[in-house]
Amino acid sequence: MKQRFLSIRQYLLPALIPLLLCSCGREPVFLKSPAGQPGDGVPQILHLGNGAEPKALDPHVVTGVTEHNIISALLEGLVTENPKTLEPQPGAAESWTVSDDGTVYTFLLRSNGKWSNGDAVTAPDFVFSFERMLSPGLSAEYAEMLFVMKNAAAFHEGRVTDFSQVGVRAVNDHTLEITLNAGTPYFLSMLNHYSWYPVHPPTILKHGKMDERHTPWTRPGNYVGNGVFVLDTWEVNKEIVVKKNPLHWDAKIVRLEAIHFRAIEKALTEERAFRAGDLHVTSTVPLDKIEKYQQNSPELLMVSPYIGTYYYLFNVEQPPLDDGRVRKALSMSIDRAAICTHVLKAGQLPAYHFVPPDTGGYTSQARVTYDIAAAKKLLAAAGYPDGKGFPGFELLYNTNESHRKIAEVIQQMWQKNLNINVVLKNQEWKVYLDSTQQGDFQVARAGWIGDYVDPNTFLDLWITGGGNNRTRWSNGDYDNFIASAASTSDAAVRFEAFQKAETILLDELPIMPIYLYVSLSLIQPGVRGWYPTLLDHHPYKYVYLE
Amino acid sequence: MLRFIRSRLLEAIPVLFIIATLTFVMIRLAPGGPFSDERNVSPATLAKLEAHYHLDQPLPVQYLTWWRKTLTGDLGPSMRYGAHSVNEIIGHTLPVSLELGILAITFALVIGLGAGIVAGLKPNTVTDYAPMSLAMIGICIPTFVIGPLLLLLFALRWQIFSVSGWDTATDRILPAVTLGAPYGAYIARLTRAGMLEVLNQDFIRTARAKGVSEFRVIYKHALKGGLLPVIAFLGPATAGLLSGSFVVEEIFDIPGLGQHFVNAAFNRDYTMIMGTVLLYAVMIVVFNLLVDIVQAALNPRLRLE
Amino acid sequence: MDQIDKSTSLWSDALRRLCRNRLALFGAVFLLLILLLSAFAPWLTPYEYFEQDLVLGAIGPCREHWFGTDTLGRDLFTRVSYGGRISLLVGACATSVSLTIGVLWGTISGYSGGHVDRVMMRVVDIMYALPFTIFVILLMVCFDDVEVRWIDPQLFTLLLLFVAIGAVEWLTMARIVRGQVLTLKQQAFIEAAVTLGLSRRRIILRHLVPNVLGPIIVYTTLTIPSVMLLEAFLSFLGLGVQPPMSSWGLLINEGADAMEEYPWMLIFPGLFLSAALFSLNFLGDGLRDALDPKSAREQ
Repeated sequence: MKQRFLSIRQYLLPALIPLLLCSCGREPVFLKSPAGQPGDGVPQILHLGNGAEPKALDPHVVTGVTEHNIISALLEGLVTENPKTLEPQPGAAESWTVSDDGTVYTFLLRSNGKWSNGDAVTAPDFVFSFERMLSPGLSAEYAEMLFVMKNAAAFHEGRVTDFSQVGVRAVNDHTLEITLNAGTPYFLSMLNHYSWYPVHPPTILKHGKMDERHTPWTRPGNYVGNGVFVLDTWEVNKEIVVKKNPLHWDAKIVRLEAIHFRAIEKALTEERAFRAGDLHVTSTVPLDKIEKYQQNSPELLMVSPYIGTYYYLFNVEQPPLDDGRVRKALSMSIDRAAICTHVLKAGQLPAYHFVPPDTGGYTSQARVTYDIAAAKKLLAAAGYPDGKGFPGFELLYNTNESHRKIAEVIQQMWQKNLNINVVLKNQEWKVYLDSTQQGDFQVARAGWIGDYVDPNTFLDLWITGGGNNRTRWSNGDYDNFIASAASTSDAAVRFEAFQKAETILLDELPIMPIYLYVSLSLIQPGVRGWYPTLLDHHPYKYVYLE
Repeated sequence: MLRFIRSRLLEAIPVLFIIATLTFVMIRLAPGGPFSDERNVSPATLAKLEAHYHLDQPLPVQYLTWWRKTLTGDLGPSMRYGAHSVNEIIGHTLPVSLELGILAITFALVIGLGAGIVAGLKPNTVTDYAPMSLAMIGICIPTFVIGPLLLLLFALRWQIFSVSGWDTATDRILPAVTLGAPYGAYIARLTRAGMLEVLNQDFIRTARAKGVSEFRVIYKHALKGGLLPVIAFLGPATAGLLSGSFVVEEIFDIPGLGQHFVNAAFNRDYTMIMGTVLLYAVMIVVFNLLVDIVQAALNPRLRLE
Repeated sequence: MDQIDKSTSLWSDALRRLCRNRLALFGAVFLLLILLLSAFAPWLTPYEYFEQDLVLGAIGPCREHWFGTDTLGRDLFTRVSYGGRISLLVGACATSVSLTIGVLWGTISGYSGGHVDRVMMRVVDIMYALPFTIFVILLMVCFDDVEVRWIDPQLFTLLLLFVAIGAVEWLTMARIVRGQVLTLKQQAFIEAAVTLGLSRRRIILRHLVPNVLGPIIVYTTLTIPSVMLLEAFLSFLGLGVQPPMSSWGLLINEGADAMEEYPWMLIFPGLFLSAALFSLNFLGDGLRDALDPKSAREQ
């Protein structure tokens, strides 16, 4: 008997050991600099965690942040960004002038601008690039970014077939004139989006037609760019290496010799690589690690406000959410501050309006509030006193750790504060997209990242029939305010219109803002010239290692 | 024997055909397409994109086109990674997965067979309990726990191995162990069971009574029958291991094919799904055929039908 | 010949022998304990599995929370106990589904031989290769809008879960069983049974299946953990338990991501899963020994 019992212990003890070992990992983060000792001898090779494998490196067909990070090293637009403020500063264009009404921009390209094969960067190159981006044949997902130009939308949709009618013109080899539909105060900052980047016409035409997708021109050896770096190697699912472009007009101030963009999809894997010193900067930080880094090594954690809002969509056609009072009650009864402090923990701010504060100088005056008593009254007025008779609904989110946690927390808040039952439902990403697009949901999680720094990129989402308006909400006044803002370049008048529009939005609440995104990354102490910015852009020109 | 192999290969044709057809239908029925994203593309652009990949043609035409191109060895462009074709991606990643898979299966076989035989010879003793409880641990602790645990200890704490990447020979060790461990555990348990089954049988007792050496008994007689379940398990297991593991590749940052099996489905990358499924189907057919041959070779009484 | 007579009293004999095996008995008792814990969870803990304490957050084991809490401040003991319900249910049901299909398929295929065997095994090959993720997504989407009246919707998703898991897990079982049956088929006692004119059904159920029980039981005990972990993957795809309800598989998944920061979130569900599987294994080994017709003859 005794022997038998011993053998049971023999079975169980080994089972415990590896599990108990887990608890050993709680020591301060240690660092092994890949670059060796700090000092002048540091090799200027930057290793970046860059998330998923990029879909492509053609600026006119890509859509993501991963791709932006690489392409912005390989190509340069008319303007570039100040590394700290992202203010537009001279890029391929040395200087520019704006007409009085703000609709005509004249760019003077620099005479020493060169492609990586030695050709001069000229105004016709930009005209070619814009034509390519807008050509119906290429079917660029981001073609709409260029629609601020005169006749651009018409050309893309095939209503105008002669590109010379579009508002871009090469006055001479070094002068480019762009005519806009209306004064667009954020036009210059838009130019930093890759959809406005130039491509090298002979290279494009050598490998295919102008409007042909995915020709081999983006392969190492073929890629000709005008950026600070040139494409060196591309190993699928592993890394992309870019090397310094000696022909770039500003090459003398560039200190980095090369950048390695590692394709590491899993945040935990990336964090381990960072901890081992294999990466200088990560693309994100795992949710559970944030607190430990804050406590143990806050200097490694870079948190910066990001121009994006996390919110829930209400399907306004589905009862009980067709009742504005119900939507308001739901919005009023969640404690956004608690979600930020206790669930997200990284310094995200509660979103009391939809447009992030101080977006291009605009901050909404209207706000949603946290007021349980008022929420209860609204719910009672809608016919559900103390949640009685409330039909309940499904809360849809795409499968993800942090979406799940937030949904669980909000479910409990509604249960506790309003006494209503909500069923959570998670779907795989593409199924979730299909459901929300088809309107096959009641409440769904969503997020929006601004494309440029202006309230318009947020507020024009909710116009009637907007391509991304999945709430089915429609309000004539709202549409009018957004339209009137688009037709003026007077900043005060525009912001006034946006204020009125957002007031309507926050009163009707087809959406419920929850929190404001931050961009999170881990950064080694030796990285210089890498600043927190609103768009998470980090012009590599100014980055170096110490 | 040759006739058997030939007839099995002929059978493979309808099998592959059915797999490809069913997969083709299944992926088109799944909601969401390769180009759906958080930001909607305009209907016009979407139509153009679909036309670019010939998704606007009637399904039977698309299906036949796919077969025509596939039979010439062209699996088409990836709809997600536009810059690369499915052939290229498989060409880049399959060798990595093959290498990792071979290492893992070798590790699993050495550990699993060793532990299983030792345990099976003297059941209900320490030499049975110790390896078997280890095997149970291997089964209970999932890959996504073992992998990070090994990395924390061997890469971050003791810095024996690097934490990510697939560059040097030592980079192979931890992933191969992580990937092979659960398979090793399966093999160990199946080997033990098979051994016990056989060792009780009359012919073994006869052999032992005749004074045949213990090594010979194990090697010549017991293993033959005892390994049958292991071999049956090995067919699909090898196909699975060689085609890559999503979890292990993710944890160790390995540029293998396994991630494409999973991601292609999530991305609705139609061409990539078809390509990977076809590849896996070929592996399954081949390894199950090999298994049947080996089983027959181990057991002469078993005729190949 | 005495094999045939023995088979009638096989099961009662087996039970007697099983009870004599202490390790197996220990496994059974322990398993029962875990089952009871899961069944009576609501009476054993003052907390609800969904009850949050955001301010508290994740804390290690202490007097109030025996197993600590998760990042939303929910009592882990409660969640592990409730999670056991799902995991044990899934483990038991999905494994039975795959066991039944696999054993029958493999035996029939192996015993029949010829064209039947070929076709049945090629069906297995086909099932292996079909993309599982897409299959699950389709299964979920197809039944998403189906109004089920005859059963609770939550139970209905669990049912779908069993179908999905059963559909993949029986394949290897079928191949293993077929391999065993092929060898057994030529052995004297089966040939004797055939000569005696016993029905196919009787030969398969009474003589073939009991003699391949060893590998079957072992492979079954191996299937259970993979089924429990597969359930977590299916939940990821949206099929299975919906939060805030949880399962051991989901808790382990969650704990694995936080193993350095909050190790208890991995250790406790991991321990429960391991303990249950070890017990099952002792029980399985005991069953195997008890049911072995050859060892029966010795006694």
